[in-house]
Amino acid sequence: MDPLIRVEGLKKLFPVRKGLHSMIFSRKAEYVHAVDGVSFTISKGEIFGLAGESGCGKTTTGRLLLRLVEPTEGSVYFEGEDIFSLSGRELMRKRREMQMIFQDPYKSLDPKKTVKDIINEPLSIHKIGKNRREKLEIIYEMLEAVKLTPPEDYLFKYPHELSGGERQRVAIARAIILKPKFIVADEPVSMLDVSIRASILDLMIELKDKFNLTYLYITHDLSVASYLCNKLAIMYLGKLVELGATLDLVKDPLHPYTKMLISAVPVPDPTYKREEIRIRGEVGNPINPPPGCRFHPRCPFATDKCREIEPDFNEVKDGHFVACHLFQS
Amino acid sequence: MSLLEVNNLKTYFYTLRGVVRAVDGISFHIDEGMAFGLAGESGCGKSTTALSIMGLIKDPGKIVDGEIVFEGEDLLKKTKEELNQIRWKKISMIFQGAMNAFNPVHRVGDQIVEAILYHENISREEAWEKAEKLLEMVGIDPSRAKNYPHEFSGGMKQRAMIAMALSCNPKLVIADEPTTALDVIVQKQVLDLMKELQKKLKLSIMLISHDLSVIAQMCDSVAIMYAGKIVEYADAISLFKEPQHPYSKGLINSFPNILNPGKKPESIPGQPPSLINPPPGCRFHPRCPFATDKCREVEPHLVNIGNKHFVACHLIGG
Amino acid sequence: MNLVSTQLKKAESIEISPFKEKLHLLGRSIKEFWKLYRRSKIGLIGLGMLLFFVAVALTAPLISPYDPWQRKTGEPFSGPSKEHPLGTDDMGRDILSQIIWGTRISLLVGFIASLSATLIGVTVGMISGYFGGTIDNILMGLTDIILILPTIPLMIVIAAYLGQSIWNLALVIAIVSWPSTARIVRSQTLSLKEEAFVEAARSIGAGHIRIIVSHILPNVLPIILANTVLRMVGAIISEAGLSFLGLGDPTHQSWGMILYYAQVAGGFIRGAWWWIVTPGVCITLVGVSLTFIGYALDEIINPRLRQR
Repeated sequence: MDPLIRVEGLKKLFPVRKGLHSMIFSRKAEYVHAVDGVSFTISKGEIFGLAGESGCGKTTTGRLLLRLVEPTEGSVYFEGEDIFSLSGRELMRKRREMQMIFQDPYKSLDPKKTVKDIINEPLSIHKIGKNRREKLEIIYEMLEAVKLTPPEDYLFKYPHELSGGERQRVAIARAIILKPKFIVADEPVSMLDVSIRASILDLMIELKDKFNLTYLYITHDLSVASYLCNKLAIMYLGKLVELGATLDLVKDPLHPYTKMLISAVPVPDPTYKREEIRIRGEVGNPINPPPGCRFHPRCPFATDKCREIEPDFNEVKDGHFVACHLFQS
Repeated sequence: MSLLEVNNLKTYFYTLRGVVRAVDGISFHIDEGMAFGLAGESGCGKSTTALSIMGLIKDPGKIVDGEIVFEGEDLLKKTKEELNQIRWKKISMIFQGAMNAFNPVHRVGDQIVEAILYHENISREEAWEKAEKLLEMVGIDPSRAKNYPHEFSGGMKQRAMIAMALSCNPKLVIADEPTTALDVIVQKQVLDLMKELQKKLKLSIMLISHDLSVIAQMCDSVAIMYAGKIVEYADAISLFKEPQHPYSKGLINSFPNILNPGKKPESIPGQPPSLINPPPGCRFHPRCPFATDKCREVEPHLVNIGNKHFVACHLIGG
Repeated sequence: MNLVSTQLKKAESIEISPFKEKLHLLGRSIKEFWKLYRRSKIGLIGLGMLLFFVAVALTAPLISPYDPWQRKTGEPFSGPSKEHPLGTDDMGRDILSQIIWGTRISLLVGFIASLSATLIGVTVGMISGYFGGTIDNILMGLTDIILILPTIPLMIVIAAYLGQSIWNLALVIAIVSWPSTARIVRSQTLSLKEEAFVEAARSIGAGHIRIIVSHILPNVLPIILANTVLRMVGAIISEAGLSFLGLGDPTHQSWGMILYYAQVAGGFIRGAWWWIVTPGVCITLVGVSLTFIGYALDEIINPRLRQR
């Protein structure tokens, strides 16, 4: 499959705000290593899952891919074009092709705008639709596509008059109205009630087929990711530790961290007795990540090599990458 | 014998817009040393149930009917002083987002000591020793009692919260979404800890969660709540293996399962109803694919369909 | 067509003009707003009082019994009587008429001053909060300087420098009172610009101007509304104060000017209480009414206060 997005050595360090004490007594600037050298490729038509615990850098990665944040280092190629080298006007053109769906539909919609204004905004920014009638036709089409029907019932409602599921549908309509190729979905169902989550996931799959979309699906919920995504990447402290086809990765995880993560996912089955994996320690500090493999302080198999040398991200099976010395040839 | 028995509990909120029937006649019991799970979506009344048991319902809310029998005595008939003795000493609660319940300007150990001293007549030194023991029990190095809350990670704060809840050796711990804000690995650690302590201290646990997976892994018996009512109530295995009520089935089916990634999660159409004007008959009927005229008019009651599996649905058990 | 419903038929919503659409939405918001406002007793009392003064100001030529400048309408320094309900001044001019005409000036100066202060404050606050960095440092430095300087002497100096006219008075009051608004707006903007909906707007390609005007401003305005109303109280009192000190506009009779003349012409010494008390009462009443309204608005806008 053709690559749509190619990420190479992406890095983002955020400077740490310092107090008076550290300003006087230490000269070294400190940084949060939010994303620290990440490379991967997303193919056309894929749902690429990026999973990890909070603070692992998955959300920052998503924002970098849309150039909502400027990187410290690295490149993101969108159809071969480095988006960080684009100038203002070129970036505007590119923005039409990549969109985002946010986590919290209660916050991602302007409370003072009607549904119509919210969905219309991309059209007026990018000057699409010759006149009001044409714009409204497009808005109607989008509202129907996200199953907010009949559209006229929703057009002049404000976000606070909608349920969580309806709001997220509005947010999706806004994301797809420019007919983008690539959408970053940042935990789009985690704030919604369980009973309606599946309907939003179904909608996303349906729209993907209808509009030939490619998704980067950012989540902490591996159960949802295992159902939705074709490919899954696991992030830990700013680095990818494992990447592979979802089924492969979930059934046969290689990296000790992935194993630990998957074994911790609760299962809706009271009779299920899983293989117990002891969990050690807590996530390290992103300001001073451990040297060598970042997972080594928690890893039951850590050797001296792990403590000193950072493992490469190697392909160990067909399309299955892992960053672990246990699997380096 | 049941440690806690709730009978026909009704807790209403008298707001400007009308009476919110948050909890509308629910009954369940928790046996000694058992874990009971109360599951349901946001706004179904599960937290209100917990607060009612704890006596923490505030104006404009009011418990209008029912009994809360703890160790054979109805808590609703007790005076405030008597209740204070029972609550926290015998029943304690871990709140949703409890990690933020610590006061940032006091050391964690001191805050646990305060909680102990409030209920027990011992010296400060003894209390501090006890606090250290409690922290050790929940897997925190006792020397960290001297730390301030911001020096703890989210998981450690939640552990410390559990330590605090256990400070007076309660018989029942009510945990309201104890792990919702935590990452999966930390969640697993906290749940494992709760399970371990339950066995060790012969605690009863009432676990409230929207996450059926968490309930499945923790609880012996489970009640599913919908719009202020219990729709199904059984032991965990039969409820998860043979759910009867269409809502329970729908809710269980809406969860993806990492062990079975190919299984498509199903959503339940529509929205939970308003608790001010709940639908007549069965409250689930507007979203139920099997609803009949009877469901629209007559309210179903919980019926034992065998083996203490209770279901409130006209389609099941005649 | 019912303009105040949520629904418009497809055909209607396509045919309807943008202007009518705005009207439709405005109608709905006003209706919703009124539904909330109506619940506040204090707000209704305040609004009633304010409307009374506004009506007086608007109908001044019709209801005032005499020309406020006309001398010898009665005996000088005569107390309240049938002909002169609020008595007369040292030249026999009717005080009731002066108060009625003064309402116009006092309200107008207060209104213009608070509106201009809000305008400056909102602009400075939004630019400062949104762009941050050097712009923020410069603008906030300026704001802090004005905040730190003692208000009354500052106003006196500027007013004396600019000369006496009601427009200058409004300007002086605006100059010293915008900084607090700018502070509030800046902090609001700082938090709003981190909101997900602002990031969403950026991700669809919205520029700075669009984000400021179309997303941040509408969310800042309601918070500023109560502030503006309360600022009017301060402005009206400041106007009275400045006029009383002799820095007012001698060609217009505001409540403050009435007090000034009373003082200059010996109204205080001769015990002409009707000359002194009435403008004071008027200033107080308008102040109270605006405070009530501001309180009610605050209650509506700040949801934490809107309980029960």
